[in-house]
Amino acid sequence: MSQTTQILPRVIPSPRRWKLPTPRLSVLRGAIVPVLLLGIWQFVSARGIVANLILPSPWQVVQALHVLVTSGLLLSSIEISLQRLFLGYGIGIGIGLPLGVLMAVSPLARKLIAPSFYAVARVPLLAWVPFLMVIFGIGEALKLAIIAKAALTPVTMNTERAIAAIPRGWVELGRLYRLSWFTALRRILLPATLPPIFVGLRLGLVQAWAALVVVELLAASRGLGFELAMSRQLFQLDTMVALMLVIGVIGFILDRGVARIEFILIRRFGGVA
Amino acid sequence: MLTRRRLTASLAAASLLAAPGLGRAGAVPRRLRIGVAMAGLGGRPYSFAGAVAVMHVQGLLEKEFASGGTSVEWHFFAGAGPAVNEALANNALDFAWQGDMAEIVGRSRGLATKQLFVAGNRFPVAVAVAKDSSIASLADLRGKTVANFQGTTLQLAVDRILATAGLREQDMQMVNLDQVTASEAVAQHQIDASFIEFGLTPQTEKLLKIIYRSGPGEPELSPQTSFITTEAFALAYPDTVDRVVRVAVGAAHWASLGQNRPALYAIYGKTGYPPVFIKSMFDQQDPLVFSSPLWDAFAASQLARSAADSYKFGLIRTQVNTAQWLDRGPLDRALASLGLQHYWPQFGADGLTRVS
Amino acid sequence: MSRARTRPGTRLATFALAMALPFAVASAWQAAASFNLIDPTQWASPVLVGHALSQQLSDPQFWSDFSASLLRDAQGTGVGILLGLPAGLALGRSALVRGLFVPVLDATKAIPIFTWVPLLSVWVGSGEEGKVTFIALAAALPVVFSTLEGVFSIQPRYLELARLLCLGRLVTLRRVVLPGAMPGILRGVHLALLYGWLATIGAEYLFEAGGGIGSNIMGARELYRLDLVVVDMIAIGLVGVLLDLAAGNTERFLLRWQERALS
Repeated sequence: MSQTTQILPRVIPSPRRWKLPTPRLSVLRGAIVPVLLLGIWQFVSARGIVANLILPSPWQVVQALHVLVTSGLLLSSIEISLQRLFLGYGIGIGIGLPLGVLMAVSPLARKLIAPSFYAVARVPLLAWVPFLMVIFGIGEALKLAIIAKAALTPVTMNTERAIAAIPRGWVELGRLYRLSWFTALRRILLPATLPPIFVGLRLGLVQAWAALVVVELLAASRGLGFELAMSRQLFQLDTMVALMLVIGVIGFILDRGVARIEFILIRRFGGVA
Repeated sequence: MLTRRRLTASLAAASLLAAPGLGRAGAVPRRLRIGVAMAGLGGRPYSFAGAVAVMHVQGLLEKEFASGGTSVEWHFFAGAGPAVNEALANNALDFAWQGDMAEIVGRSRGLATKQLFVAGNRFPVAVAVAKDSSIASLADLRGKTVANFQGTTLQLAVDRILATAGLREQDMQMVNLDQVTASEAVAQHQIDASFIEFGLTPQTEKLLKIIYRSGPGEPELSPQTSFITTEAFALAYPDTVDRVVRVAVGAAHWASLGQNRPALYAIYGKTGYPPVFIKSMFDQQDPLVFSSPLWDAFAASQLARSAADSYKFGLIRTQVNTAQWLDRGPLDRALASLGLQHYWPQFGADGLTRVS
Repeated sequence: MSRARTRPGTRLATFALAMALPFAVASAWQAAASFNLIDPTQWASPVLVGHALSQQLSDPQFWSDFSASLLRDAQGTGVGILLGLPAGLALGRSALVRGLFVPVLDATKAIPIFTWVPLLSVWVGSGEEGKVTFIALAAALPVVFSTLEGVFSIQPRYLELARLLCLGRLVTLRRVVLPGAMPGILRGVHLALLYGWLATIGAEYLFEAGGGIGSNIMGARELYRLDLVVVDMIAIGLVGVLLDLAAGNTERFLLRWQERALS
């Protein structure tokens, strides 16, 4: 009898699942680490464990942010940076979308352009910066060129892939039913391609924003990246951290914004099964 | 197990390791790390740093410390003063040659340094425009795009020079560029003018003309550069600091001799900047005055003026007191040991009236 | 027709078409330079680039700069992967860890990587340490997120089986989690290699000069040597391509069991 009880395994313990009773509490759980980090930060800087030179206190960062806002510098910098972003991004998709379509639709165009395009895309954007600096100088043209190129690559590649991936069956079906151009566009082309194209657009925007920051760090006289570089020059860490937060938040909003549009479009148009 | 005894023992051991030979006379560091807030063309490790440049090129410090086994590391920063401040904040340097504004910014943020001697008094500043430009004087700069290397001592000089013409930075479009990029941009007509202390490449030199140069008659306008050390290093190795300053004073003496001027220009030429430009910038200066390491009334009040101006122009947020910053000790001892107490002229606060 | 006849013909045609555009651009450039429509000293030309290429390849300074960059890249990417991998695994395995740390990580991911440069240069210095730290950060983030996804994608029945067999933590890790998450892990490493190289070049631009292709290319720009700039660009692009190919092939090789299992 005793032997049998030993052979049977113990009740298999299930791994502890920290299931929280309500979703609201999970938000609280998510806030623990940030709040803890904030607390440690405040403690370390208030006690001077790390020199104020290197680590400003959270309150100083808030104050710096306040100064940036009230002096109008923040708003004007954001305006300038976003202007550059959207203009460069616009140029990028203005070239990228047609290019992607062209390469997907025409085999000749693809054989002609794709190898060079991919070779150029392979060279990292940063490696292009000195070259473009020589050609465009250090004015607005340089920044727009870099931002446009940053957006161009993912947009073109995703567009090409999207159009090439339209199921043959759908196209044939459209031909079979003799659908008009407009209907074919609305019923076949857009649902099939819009979601993947939007992935490209979203990626392009994120990369364009990152490229904007880099180029403003390197060669600008106004804008968020420039103010960040200036805060480094003048050793104003509190302003620096404040600007980093602003840049991060804007990038986040941009990404989420496009994701939202993507979501709505997928709901509207369905997408490829 | 972390017992209280073990904790105190390890803390004690750590604090012993962290206090390198505090004030032990004769203690010599294993290495001297010197930062120079300037780099040559293309990042070349050379500079216009006066006596410090002479020390570097002639290897004087290496010779001085060879016997004790101390190595000397020279670091040249293309990012100028701000980059040196970063290195100082990270305890990566023991000595630094910087412009006064960068030093003031560092001090205002809490960098603990001591001023040892002046190395580059009355640095000349010029304004360069394209050869075919219509700009002929400072007043013509109003409303134009002008380059400035912001955050460095040049910015302070620019603000002062503009003030003499009744202008402010806001009266024109200021662009923040390092000096080489700036002069190239002017040559390519992308911007209208640039303030430079150096920064003309051989190619751009031919395409630009200088419309203004701060002369020896306006010493208050010019940037001042000096040699500083960290308080930690001075506390740990006071003898080493004395020796370094003594070598530097010797180098300053060499640089002050008129007959050494061509050799001095050759040293400056190692930066890669055109010799013609170097000559045009420094010919106007009396080498005796330019290379003087003294904290005379002019140099000291210029430092105080720079601190006040930095605050006035919004470059620092808290006022900096410069009086306790100067450590004349090593300099005085060096002058005494080399017998050069009366070699260099001393000027009054305006920089023009000679006091001795 | 016979297959033998069409194959080399079409391959040649494809190659010719691929070369057409670059050839046209290069010829136009060379012609403009040769006929002095543009200033060769400022704008270089394909011939000058060729010269510069052969000159650089035989210049030991170039190779030492190149290897300095590669070393920096290896150090930074290595540290990034070493730190990112366990973090990603922990995040994937534990809902608690996820709940605690994912918000912070998402926030970190939202900040463009180069925004960290000024802060890191003050905190860690603008020398080697600063650069390597920056590269490590750039490499760690994709590893963390991809590994997390990889762990997530492990089929639950394998984990249940491990639990059923009362396998210990370490054994589960070795036998179930790591192999199962391997696609995600390898994808993360692949991205880390690419981003690491980008971060290396960017670090050399934005931190203080310390030898390297990035400093080289900026120095060449200062001197208006477009030919050297192009040579360096080619070098940078080549490394990126090689890293991509190497990572891709390793991925395919290590994951070949997956294809077999699925088929």
